Amino acid sequence: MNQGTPQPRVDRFRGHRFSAYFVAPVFFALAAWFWFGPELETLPEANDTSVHASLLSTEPHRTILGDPPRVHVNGFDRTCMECHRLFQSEEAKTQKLLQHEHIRMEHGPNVDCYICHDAEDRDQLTLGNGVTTKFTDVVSLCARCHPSIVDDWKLGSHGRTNGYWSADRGEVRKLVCTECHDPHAPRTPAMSKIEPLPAPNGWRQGNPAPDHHDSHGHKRDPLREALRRASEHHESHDK
Amino acid sequence: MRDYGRFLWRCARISFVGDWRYHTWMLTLSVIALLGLNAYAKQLVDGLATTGMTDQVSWGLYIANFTFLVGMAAAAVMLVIPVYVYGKHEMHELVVFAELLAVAAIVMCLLFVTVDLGRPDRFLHLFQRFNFPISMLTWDVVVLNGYLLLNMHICGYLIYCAYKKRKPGKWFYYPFVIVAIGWAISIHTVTAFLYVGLGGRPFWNSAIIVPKFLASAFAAGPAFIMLTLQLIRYFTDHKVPQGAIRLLQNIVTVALTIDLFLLGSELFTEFYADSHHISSLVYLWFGKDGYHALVPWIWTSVAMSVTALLIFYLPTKRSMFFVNIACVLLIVGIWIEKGMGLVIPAFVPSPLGEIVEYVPTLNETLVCFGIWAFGLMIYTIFVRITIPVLSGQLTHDRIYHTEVATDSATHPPTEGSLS
Amino acid sequence: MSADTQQQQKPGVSRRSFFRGALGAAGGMAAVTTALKPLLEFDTSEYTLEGFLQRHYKEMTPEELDAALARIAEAVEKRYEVRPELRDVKPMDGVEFGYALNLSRCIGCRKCVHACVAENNQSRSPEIQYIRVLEMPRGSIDMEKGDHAYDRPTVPDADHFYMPVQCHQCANPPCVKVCPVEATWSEDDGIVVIDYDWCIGCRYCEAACPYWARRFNFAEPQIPKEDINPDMSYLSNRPRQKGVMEKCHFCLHRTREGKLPACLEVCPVGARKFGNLLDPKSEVSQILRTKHVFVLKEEVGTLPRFFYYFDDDYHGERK
Repeated sequence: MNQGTPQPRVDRFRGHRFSAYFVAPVFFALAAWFWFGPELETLPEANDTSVHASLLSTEPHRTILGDPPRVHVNGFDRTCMECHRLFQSEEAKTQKLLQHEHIRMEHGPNVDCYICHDAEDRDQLTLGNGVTTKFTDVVSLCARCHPSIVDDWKLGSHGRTNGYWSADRGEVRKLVCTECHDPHAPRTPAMSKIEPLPAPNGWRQGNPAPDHHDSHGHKRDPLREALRRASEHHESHDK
Repeated sequence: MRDYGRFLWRCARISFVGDWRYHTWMLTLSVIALLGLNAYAKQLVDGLATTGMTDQVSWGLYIANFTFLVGMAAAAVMLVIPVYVYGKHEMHELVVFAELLAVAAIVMCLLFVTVDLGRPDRFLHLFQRFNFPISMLTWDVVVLNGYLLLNMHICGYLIYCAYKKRKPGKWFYYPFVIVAIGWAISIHTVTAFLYVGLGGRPFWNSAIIVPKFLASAFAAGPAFIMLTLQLIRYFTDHKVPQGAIRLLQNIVTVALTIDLFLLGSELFTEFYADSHHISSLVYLWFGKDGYHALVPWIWTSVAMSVTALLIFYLPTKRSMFFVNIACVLLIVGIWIEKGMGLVIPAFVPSPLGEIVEYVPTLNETLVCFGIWAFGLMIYTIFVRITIPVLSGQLTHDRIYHTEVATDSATHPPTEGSLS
Repeated sequence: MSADTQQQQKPGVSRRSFFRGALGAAGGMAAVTTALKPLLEFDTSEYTLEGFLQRHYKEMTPEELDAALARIAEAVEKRYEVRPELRDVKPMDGVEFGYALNLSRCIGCRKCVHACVAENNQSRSPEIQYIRVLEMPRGSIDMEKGDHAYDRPTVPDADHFYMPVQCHQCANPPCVKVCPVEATWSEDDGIVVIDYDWCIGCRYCEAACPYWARRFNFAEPQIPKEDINPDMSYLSNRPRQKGVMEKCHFCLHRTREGKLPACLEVCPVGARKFGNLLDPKSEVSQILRTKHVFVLKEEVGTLPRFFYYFDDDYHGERK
């Protein structure tokens, strides 16, 4: 470096020690601002986006009939045969949906009850040629016409599994066909047209692009009526 | 050791001494730094929610400034190489100023990384489970701190030798200078590797970013040093040979040319191939799906860089006035390019194709200004100390007059008058 | 740059000069102190010395881990007034988890998203969700054409299909590679976990993830007390702190005990399939063998354990 050359240059920085009378007031003013000054910026609003627990039910869509099938009619708990043994005439067999008007038959060409129900033993389903099976074994019945879907179901790729992923650890509850599909109108399962749960509503997401409007042209509101639906859902769920 | 303590004490004292311009400058920087400190305190309390960052754009101004400043730090090497490799000894003293700038820049880098952390209280975890050499971030920690230590050693040693009027022992600094040359390249390379190593971000995942980083850094850094040297020349009587500035000008010209050339190559490759990967580029340059927050920035940046390049190639290059304008233009241009042009667009659209724009908040802007002010403050202090030491006005056996003439007339120039 | 303190002044230095220095110093001190005023509101209740000294999950002895669990459980109880069943669940031997999702089935109802939030104690405000469902036009799997914010009166829409995305638990995870402090790693059963007490919040993993699966706690997470799920484990769904990363962990507190993940259980259409990839008879193994599965962004080389597939006989007319 400069080996201490004995020719000191004039250092222009040298001079007055800057008056504390100027520095200190600035600092004190700044301190006052920090202490009393207003909040310049507020955090963005964060909506609570919880949805009601009832919307997150893991129950099957439909409750299936057991063995023997029990139905609730006019406050009585009956198996099918408890009534149907009274209507065993040939006439009654061909009668159209006397007590079962609510049934909507939309199962392709299957308009005749006895394609699936056993005509003699109403507590059983028929697999044809006089072979019957229980209501709980509805899969065997469906497999007669939909073998590939049932294959997928067995494989696991079609249908729901709840509970445990390994039978070693607990019940692997594979839902059967009619726990999702209405056997009388299977193409429109209970979840075919449902209202989606709220869209994401993160912070600072900017202005939604034009396509972030719903089909009615309303600006999206992720929390629209989530609670209303939660309460309604309760009633409509277990039909 | 006692001598060294006294040296540091004198350095600390002298940093408070100066004329009204010095004090006004330092006061302004202090106020800005304190505003930044206040903003950071808010961030510590409320979390990074005080910034404009989101899960979509998870890095913002902090990392952008960090990246730019790594380049500034690396650029010191552009003064070291001419002196130590090509033997331009008339610039020897200027090297210290460049290396001090590197020290200040690295300090700013480390601050920018710190303020970006969600849990700065856990920084000790770095020492306990350091994912080296797998994580590029750990490489960055190593090279940045290594570079900081190298430069602190070189500057500190040379300045202390001048203070002691000793001839610096070659072996005590020369090997470090040589290591620092390679190291300077490495800090910016490793920082570029931070980005280019991410396969999930096609915008970054391109090898050309690495040389482009270096080229832009070697344009912006020396340009900044050019301005600094002129300021030193203006405000002090320290000799800054015009040749040094012109040499830096040549370096800047070449580096900026390469930078723009690489930019052109990148744009051609991406836009001509027109593959899926250009979403971020389209967003950056032209806007996408009605979102175009970065478009004015990048075009401004390019306009600034091109104007600077023209000034450097046209006869205007002979006028220091125009050259200084060019330096300012290209520093700002490259700063924009690093932030708005490199860090942020990689996050837009998100990997799932969602477009969320990033707008910095006032709070994080204040933190950024605060860190810059703090960095400039320590650089000013470094220069403030270095100049009298190098010029032999402040040595171990010589008393530096700090009081005004009347004061020093009343007090004999003893140790006491330093205060 | 407050004026220097001048205690050991030699005689002769004027009183005025001392006063000047003291005044400047006082101003500086006042400004620095008041600049830190916001820290008065800093909630230090969860910053304990034990927490500060706690070691990395993999380094803790069983006793240390028990102590950490007890401490965390206590903090949770204090804050949420629920006694959590906090435990550490280790991977099971001979198990590597895989997930398959049937895009032909998914109707985009977002039940998985919200079931996940409820199960995993995710912050309700600001909102953190691990699963993002994209509404995609038919005929493309270009995610940029997907709509994240679709909000129809009913789903599914006939012209779209729906693609939920969550952490793919990659076998070659870029997020793990980039973490500077090894706060995230791949466990033996393939689940990529995070030690929330180790993460420094640099968000490098978030930048590295090609699937946008990671989430950062930009603010203190807010969960209503009554919504806390007390069934918790260390590496999965215990409440997180401000400033750390989190993400889907295949509900490891459930799945490592044999149960199915919450997103799968709630799925009304059975689009989600989960199981042990090492067991050839598991649902997910059979799907991988018999269906044409694909992974997202295969070219990135992340080797996800999350597979998508369409039914072979699917013509889209179901909806």
